[in-house]
Amino acid sequence: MKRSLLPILCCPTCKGDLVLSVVEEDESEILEGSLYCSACGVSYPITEGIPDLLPRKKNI
Amino acid sequence: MNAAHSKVRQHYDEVADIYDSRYDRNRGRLYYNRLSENVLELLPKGKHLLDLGCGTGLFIQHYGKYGGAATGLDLSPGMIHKARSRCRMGQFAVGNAEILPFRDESFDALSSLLAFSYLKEPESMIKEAYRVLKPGGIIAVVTLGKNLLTSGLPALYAMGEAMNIRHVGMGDFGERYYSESEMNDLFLEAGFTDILVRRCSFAHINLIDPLYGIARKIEPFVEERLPYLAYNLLASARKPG
Repeated sequence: MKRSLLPILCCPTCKGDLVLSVVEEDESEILEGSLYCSACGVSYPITEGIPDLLPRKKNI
Repeated sequence: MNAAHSKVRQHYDEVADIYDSRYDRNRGRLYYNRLSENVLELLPKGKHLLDLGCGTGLFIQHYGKYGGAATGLDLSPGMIHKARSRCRMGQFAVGNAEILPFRDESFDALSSLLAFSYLKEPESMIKEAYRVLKPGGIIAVVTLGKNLLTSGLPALYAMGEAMNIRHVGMGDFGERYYSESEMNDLFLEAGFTDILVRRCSFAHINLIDPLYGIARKIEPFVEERLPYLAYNLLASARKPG
């Protein structure tokens, strides 16, 4: 996922802000990490450079 | 994700490797390029595009020829992997077109080619499209139209699935086909203006070869004179402002 995508992303469910955590990044993209919505308590994974923003239920 | 979405996602994950052999070679390329040209004509070029159901990024590649930026969303991670390697200029995410993970007024243009018939809540997708478009932004959707020929497709696809045929788009997904007035109403209810719905591309890729050749020759005539025979509906509209 390119960093340029971040400003237009939001939580699909509540449309609130997402907090980015980076585990692995190269010069052009974030390869592993997550996008966290604190309002929904949901973490959307970034794996192999692809963010998975499918709506889902709380991770409880 | 509901069962119907899971099924579509699983199908496209399975066919991601062979998808481009259908739409990016010979006959498939002609068919897809023709659709792409029709959609491109309607969209502002060199801006920021969102493509819903982007698949392997074929349309984003077309859009990118004129510069600008493009974001692609698809249910299938397998298809997104392909898109990422095809289009370095694009940015991609896995997601549901009916519940978009994008902020209000993020895009100048929005496209969706041959994915709309899979939606369970088309109203949601059109409303979400309206939300993420900037004022003055343009949406263009290509989907299979409702007519004599497509009315036979669900039965054919159900048969294909029962016979275990591994074929792109072949499966019983409970797809929906739309009439011109249904597409018009969906856009109208969401608040769009300058709505235009027309039929295009008579020469469908699933036609057998000799028929396909003939169909391509008479396609412009069919589109102009016999729009009820053409397979695809091309619907476009503008967000006011």
